[in-house]
Amino acid sequence: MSLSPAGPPLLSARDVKVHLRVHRRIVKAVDGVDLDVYPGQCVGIVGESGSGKSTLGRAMTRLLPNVEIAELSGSVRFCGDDVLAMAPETMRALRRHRGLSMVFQDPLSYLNPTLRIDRQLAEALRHLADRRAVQQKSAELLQQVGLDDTARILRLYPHELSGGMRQRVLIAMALAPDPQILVADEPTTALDATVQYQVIQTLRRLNKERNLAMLIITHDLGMVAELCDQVYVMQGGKIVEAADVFTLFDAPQNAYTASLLAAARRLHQTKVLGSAATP
Amino acid sequence: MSTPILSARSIIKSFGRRSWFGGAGNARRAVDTIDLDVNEGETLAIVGESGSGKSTLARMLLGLIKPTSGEVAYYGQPMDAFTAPDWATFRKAVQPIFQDPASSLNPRMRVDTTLSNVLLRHRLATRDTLAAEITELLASVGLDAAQFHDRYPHQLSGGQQQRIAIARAMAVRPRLIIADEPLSSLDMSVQAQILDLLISLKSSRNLGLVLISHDLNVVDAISDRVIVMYLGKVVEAGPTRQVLGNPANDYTRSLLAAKLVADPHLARERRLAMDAAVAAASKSGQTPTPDVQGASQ
Repeated sequence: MSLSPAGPPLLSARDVKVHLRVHRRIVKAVDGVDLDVYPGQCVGIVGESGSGKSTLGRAMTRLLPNVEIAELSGSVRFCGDDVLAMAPETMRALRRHRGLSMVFQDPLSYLNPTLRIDRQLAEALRHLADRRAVQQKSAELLQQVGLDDTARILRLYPHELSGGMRQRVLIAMALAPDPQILVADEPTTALDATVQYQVIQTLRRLNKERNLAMLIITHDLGMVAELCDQVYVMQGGKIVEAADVFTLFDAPQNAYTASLLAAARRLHQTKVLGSAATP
Repeated sequence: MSTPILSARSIIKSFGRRSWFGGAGNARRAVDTIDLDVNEGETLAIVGESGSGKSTLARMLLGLIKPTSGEVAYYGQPMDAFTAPDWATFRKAVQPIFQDPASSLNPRMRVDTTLSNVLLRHRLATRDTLAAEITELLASVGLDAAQFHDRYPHQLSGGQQQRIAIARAMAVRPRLIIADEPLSSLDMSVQAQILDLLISLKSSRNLGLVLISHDLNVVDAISDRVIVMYLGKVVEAGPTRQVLGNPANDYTRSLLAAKLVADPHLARERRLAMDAAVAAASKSGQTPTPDVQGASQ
């Protein structure tokens, strides 16, 4: 599945710096990051809390809150266009039509509790001509994320859905503009193990079947191993190592990466599974 | 084996209102007829997804809520018959650790105040020995007292907060700790550290541990026995090695299949196997069942 980068990157960051002002001090949340996502590729950014990975993800989709920023520099290019320099209308068009979508960690806080799912999906499908087209596309989107009971789900409110269903509804909404890239920030952290696995499989299928590029932000190397082609390891606002997933896991060059891997192996060890897991 | 520290017999907890005429009404059984024993020095893991009733079970074991029916006993003595001194003994011997350390520590108390309150309340230290006790406690959870004693919870990282919560639980030299998802709010490398801390504490102090978790990797690493819960019922129970190595129940199997591996090679093999299974199933017109045994072959 790991693609050799052909052609120009879909999304690329060069020397991106995001310095935040926190209590009169400057925090260098992202400090000179280069990163590329090629078409159809699944790229992971791993790091612990405070490493700046979420801030980087938000900078790359231009969803940073304006107020606290002390410095925002460098360039983020989507298909060659500078995202950071874009006019707000162009950015909106990019999100709505040409396809840069985001999914966040806590699905409940991104859904409107007072609206049924059909209304919320319809909002993401405003570009469609009539109600019938919206209905049809809504059902189709839900099916794509593995929610087959579409007629029922469309009539439900967010609180009536389980955590995994909510996250898949959000992914469905993110797919509405037919994006070329999906940026997902800890998409499974709030979910149960079995549900987490379903969401990961959903993402993988979308990556494979729609050739949808992905930027996955996570602290879980298990998820990276499951999903990503290319991995960037982030610490203290900087990328400390970047490699394809196999190289990174087999021969980490950086001591911090090695310590993260050791921790992940400690937690994802497979000893009891003996017969089942050791090849 | 001697008398278990804690035992539960056919405990049921239902929430919601019962019908006036004695019927079930809209009551739901969060915990539905569960028996369990926790022995000294043993780690029992309770596994299940959210809504399976595992936290409700933990709260009953801690005596925080009363079962609707059935009985929880501490060294054979039923909780229903506890006198006030019994409760004091129990509260000292059985300590909780919760998922979110930030909300289980008092935000207005410094670390040393948090710990000294416990030590003084249970008369485990005098004013003179207090400082030394606190230093020792902090050391046992891997924190340097000189650096941390005067911090407030918000000045600590999540892992440090959880260490303080563990130190507070350990302060009273408990026989049993009931930990409800103690790792899930932490970073992965911190999870590994806290996991190792729990393992070393339980072996060095002959501590019993009830670990509530939905993470089979953690359960695998630490527990002797495991109970798998689904919709309030125990669907599988036994030695961890046996249950995880050779699961008999479909739900346990699906939990195992969902377990992530920190190895891209293995993950890829598993994916390929699953794709092949899906392809084969669609050819033969059957619904595919993801199966961990099959997936790794």
